[in-house]
This record gives sequence, structure tokens and C-alpha cells, in this order.
Amino acid sequence: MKNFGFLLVASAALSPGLLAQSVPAKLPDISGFWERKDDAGSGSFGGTLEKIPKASLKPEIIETNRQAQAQQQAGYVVSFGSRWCLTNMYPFFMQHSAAWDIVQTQDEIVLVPEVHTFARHIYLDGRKHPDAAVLHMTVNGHSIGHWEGDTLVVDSVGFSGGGGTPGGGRTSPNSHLVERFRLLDNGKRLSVTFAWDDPTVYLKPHTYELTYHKSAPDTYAFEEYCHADDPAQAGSVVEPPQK
Amino acid sequence: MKKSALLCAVAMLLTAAFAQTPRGGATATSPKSISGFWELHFDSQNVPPAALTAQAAAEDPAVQYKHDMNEIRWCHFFGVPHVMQSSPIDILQNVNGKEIVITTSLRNPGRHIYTDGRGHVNPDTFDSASNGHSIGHWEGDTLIVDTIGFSNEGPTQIPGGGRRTPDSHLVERYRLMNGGNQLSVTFTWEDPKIFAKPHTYEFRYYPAPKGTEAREFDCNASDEARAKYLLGAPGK
Repeated sequence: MKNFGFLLVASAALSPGLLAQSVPAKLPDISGFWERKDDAGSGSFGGTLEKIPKASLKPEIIETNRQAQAQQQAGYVVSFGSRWCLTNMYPFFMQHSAAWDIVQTQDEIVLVPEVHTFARHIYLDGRKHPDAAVLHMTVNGHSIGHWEGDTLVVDSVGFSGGGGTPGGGRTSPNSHLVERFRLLDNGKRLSVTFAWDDPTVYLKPHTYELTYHKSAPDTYAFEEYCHADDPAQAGSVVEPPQK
Repeated sequence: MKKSALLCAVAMLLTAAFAQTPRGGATATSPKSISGFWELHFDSQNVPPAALTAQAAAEDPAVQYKHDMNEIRWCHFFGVPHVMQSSPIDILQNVNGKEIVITTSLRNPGRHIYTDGRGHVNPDTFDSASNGHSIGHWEGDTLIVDTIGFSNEGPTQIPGGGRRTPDSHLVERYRLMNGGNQLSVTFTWEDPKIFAKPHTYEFRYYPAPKGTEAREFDCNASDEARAKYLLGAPGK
């Protein structure tokens, strides 16, 4: 016994940090496929986002939104991004109807969407955000997380920007997002609270909650294609204004 | 002296066992952890020429080249095998042992490898995919991944010759080597229309440096200059 204790100490000393990595912590298992449903009885999937409180926006963002709405009413219903299948910016897939998958390890969590964007990496290994001077702006931003009891807290910066946020806001390189992931109903549902802060977009932090339902255990991922060269895709994109 | 030699030997064994854990830990149903970022080096690929069927050998390589460049030009999903030639790849073994995901810097859905004991989905109802449908299980210290259900989406050229088709069947074997300092992945493709016999090649990935982060290589199909470069004559 005595020698065995010595061996453990010796091997730990030879492999600093590795022993700790191999011991599974008792953390909530939030992994699996998650999907949104119309819990609030909105009557349509798009309507579910209407329940989200309106963001307190800066006047210039309100004006940009007004112009976009006017264009839409004039028939410009297909955006440039949709026409060309541009990358879906975060947090688009979190409010999309398609399920998304959480894969979880002690050191990293990855959110894998089906739409045409990138997997989102959340580092739990204690690293910090890169210095602003070297931070590379990305669609999903740079995300670090830690557990506070049963809640995963994720802090993100470094968004390339241009994505819309529910409630009328948008992302920009100045955006700072704090999310809190927490299981509900014995793991049948997942609550995610989003708190966006951005002095170029919001007058005060914009917070809302989305809940997701656990998909069936045999759920598998689809690949949601978007083909900008497909005549059918292009055919749906008649030159504006579209009627 | 004898006792200290024994202690050293056991300590080294323990050290080697833990060193095989690049990040995260082994799960209840997987004996080894292969989680983490892995990268290809200059000596990472052993790819012999494939033995092709007469029909496949007669195909014009220029047609395949044009197809693949066109897929890249239009930002279609890349899929297997191309994503496995990307570097680094990030492998995550889920804590509950039911799934493994492989992601890359490409704008591409991750590879989902289901390790929960399920079989393949019914091909009559499955929407074929650039990554196909993958199921995996462990045989000792080796992860065996079986994939069918491929689409024609993305670049389909297979290392060594031949191409991925909806009839392709891929078996991969993942195994840690050299005390966890390398990950060997052996790819074996079968496809009656393409390969005269199973085509096998091996990649050996190295652990990426600690702190490696995922990147995003974005793709913009509306960029005409990029399209001209990819589909035009080089240097023009």
C-alpha cells in the first residue's frame, strides 16, 4: 500500500495535470441533440421569437431596422446572404428549427449545428480570451466556459458581426455575450439564457431565454444544404422586388 | 535496488497510460481517450495508389478535378474524406460514451460518429450526406468506425485514386500510438464501381500544441474574383 501510494505520487509528478484530467467530475451531462418547440403556443415557429422582449437599441440601429423593414415590405424578401448561402452567423442556429448537438468533455464542449456554419467550440480548460490585439474575429466568437454548480456559464467575445439577435439587435465585433446553460425537468429540457452587451448596438444589456427539448435518443444529424448554384435555389430568388 | 527498479517501471507504465490522454478522459464505454486537436505533419500520410476498376480507371481525371473545384467554388459541404485531410481536426468523445464528433476549420457540419450501439439508418429513408452516416465501436484499444450513406456533395476525390459515391463504404480504425503521441487512422474504402479491391491508406496525426484553438475558414460564393481564381487558368 505504502509503495503504491508512492507510485501514484511519482507518476503524478511525472505527468503533471494528467491524473486530474483522467478523473471524471460529476458534472451535469447536457450532451445530445436539442430542438426548439412552440412552447408558448405562438402558432408558428417564427412566432416563437416574437415572444422575446424587444431589445433596448441605439437610435441608429432602430433606423437601420426600419429601413430593412421598409425594403422587405417593398418586396425585397430574400436577403443577399440567403441568395448566396452565406455563413449563418451566431446565434442563428440557436433559434433555428433544426436540432443541434452538444458534445461534451471535461475540457471542451462543442455545439454542432446542421446549417451552413461552423461548429462552436467552448473551452473549459481554464484558458482566457486572447488579447484583443491578436483576437481573430469569427462567426461564433471566442468562447470560454466554466461550471457554477449545475449551470454552465459561457463568455464570448470576438464575433465578426452581422448576425441578427432575437429582439431586434445584432452582433458586432464589440459584442460580448454571456450564456447560462442549465438542465430543466430532469434533463428533458435545456434552458439557455443569453445576455448581450454591445455599446454600439444596445442602450442596456439585452437578455432573453430560449428553452430546448431533448431529442429522441436515436436522433441523428442531417446536413442542411444551401446551394447558391442550384437553379431551384436561384429560381426562388427572383430579382428584387420579389412578389 | 530491485524494488526501486520495479517502482520506476510501474511509474513509467502509469505515466504512459495517462500520457495517452491528450485532453478529456476515457469514458465508460471507450477504453481510450482520443479527444483533442490533432494535426497532420509532413510525414503523416502513407497513401498507396488505389486499384481501380476498369470503369473507374477510364474516367477522365480532368472531370473529377473540375467537379471538386466547382464544389469548392460554390462553398458546398466538404465531407469525408476531405475533412480528414484538414488540419487540425478536433475530436471530442462525449462524456457518456454515446457519440464522438470530429470538427474542422471548414464550413462544414461536424462528423457525428454514434457509439451508442445503434445500427445504420435505413438507406431508403436516410438523406445522404457528405459525411455519410457513421457508427463506431471499440475493439480493445481500437475505435472502428463504419460509414455509409454518402452523397455526391463536396470534393469527392479519395487519396490514392478513385472517388466517393453513394455506394461507397468506409471503415476507419483509430488507434493511439507511441504513448499517445500519435493517432493512427487507417481508412479502407470499398465501392464495387470504383475499386477493384478495398483501398487502404493510413494517416498518423500528431497532438496539436496545448491551447490550440479552432479556426473558421469562411467561404463566400458571391466572391467573383475567388470564383475566377478557382475555376480559371492558374496565374491568370
